[in-house]
Amino acid sequence: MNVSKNERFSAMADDETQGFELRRLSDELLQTPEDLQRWERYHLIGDAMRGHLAPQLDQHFAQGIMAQLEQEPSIQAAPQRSRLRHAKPVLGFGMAAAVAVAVLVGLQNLVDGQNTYPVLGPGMAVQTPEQQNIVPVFMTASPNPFEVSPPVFHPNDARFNAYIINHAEHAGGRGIMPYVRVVGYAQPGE
Amino acid sequence: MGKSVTDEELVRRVQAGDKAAFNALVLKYQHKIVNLVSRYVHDPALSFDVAQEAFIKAYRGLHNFRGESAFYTWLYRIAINTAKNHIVSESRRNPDISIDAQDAEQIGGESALKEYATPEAELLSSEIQATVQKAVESLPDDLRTAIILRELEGMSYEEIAQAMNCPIGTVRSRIFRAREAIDKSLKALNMD
Repeated sequence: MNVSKNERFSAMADDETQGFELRRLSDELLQTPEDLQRWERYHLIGDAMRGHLAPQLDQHFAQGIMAQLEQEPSIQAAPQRSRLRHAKPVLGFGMAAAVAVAVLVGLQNLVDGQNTYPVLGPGMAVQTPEQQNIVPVFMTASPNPFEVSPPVFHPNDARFNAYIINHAEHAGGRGIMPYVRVVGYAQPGE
Repeated sequence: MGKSVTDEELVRRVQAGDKAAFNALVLKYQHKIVNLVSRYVHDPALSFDVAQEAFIKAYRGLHNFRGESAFYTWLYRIAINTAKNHIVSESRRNPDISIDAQDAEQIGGESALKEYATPEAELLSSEIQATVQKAVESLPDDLRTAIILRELEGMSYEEIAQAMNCPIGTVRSRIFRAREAIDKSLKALNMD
């Protein structure tokens, strides 16, 4: 058990551990003086093999530094800006997507020739489907799933679309929901 | 040599207020930093002081360290600047000695160390060096190759595994066993 722990320390000294294992070994390293001495000797071996030993450098060197740091307050890192840096592309993408949707909706209305919106009037506020003379559209499954039916425009659809957009402007940004309507009609004979 | 995830973890802990993590970084880099400083400051006792000052400056500056460069390159920069500042302040204190920081940079580290280190200091250093060397030579072939590829060639475990045609786990075990054998010889030396 102890041998395998020391083997992991050896790998840690070589920068070959990461994630949870690294955090756990760091905890042990910083809490156990024997582990810290082993950590020092492992690095000493590497320095000696490379001929990078500083003459007469003993434990007093590090102890001297830590004794001086005892007088210092613990440091607290300034808040990381990296989180915001990561969030920026996401926010940018979100805004770009919102703008794209708005442009598409606007273009669609321009193509339909309905770029002027009627002012919301009291008479338009509540209209039943019968009053608007809207004909329900029934969809059936196509035998060919790739066959797309041409869109069917009804004269009242554009007007109602304009009304919905106008309503959305007055209601204040609620996303795409104001453009969705759920209607139900009684089937003939019901 | 890229960024070290171990250093990043220890730095993160120091930034969170754990001073012991900084001790681990000092123990890892002390020889390298003293060696580096010794290339500028030739008196061994002074070079220790300057190296200690560099570490303390690094500690004080760690709250601003964002990890955009590797910790050790950042630490080396601090050590070089501290050593150069020391040379400048020494030359102001003693105008008879004119030391050009640019010239100091050209001085070879090893020759400078040999010239200025005291005999006692050099004895211990060379004793450690010889002990490690002897221990490495007496290792079985597979352990010796693994530790040499790691420490002298700076290869990763994956690269060593490819070079030695064995699994990474075996490389990890061989390097560990090599270190343990060398460590045993060092303990016998009684460095304290």
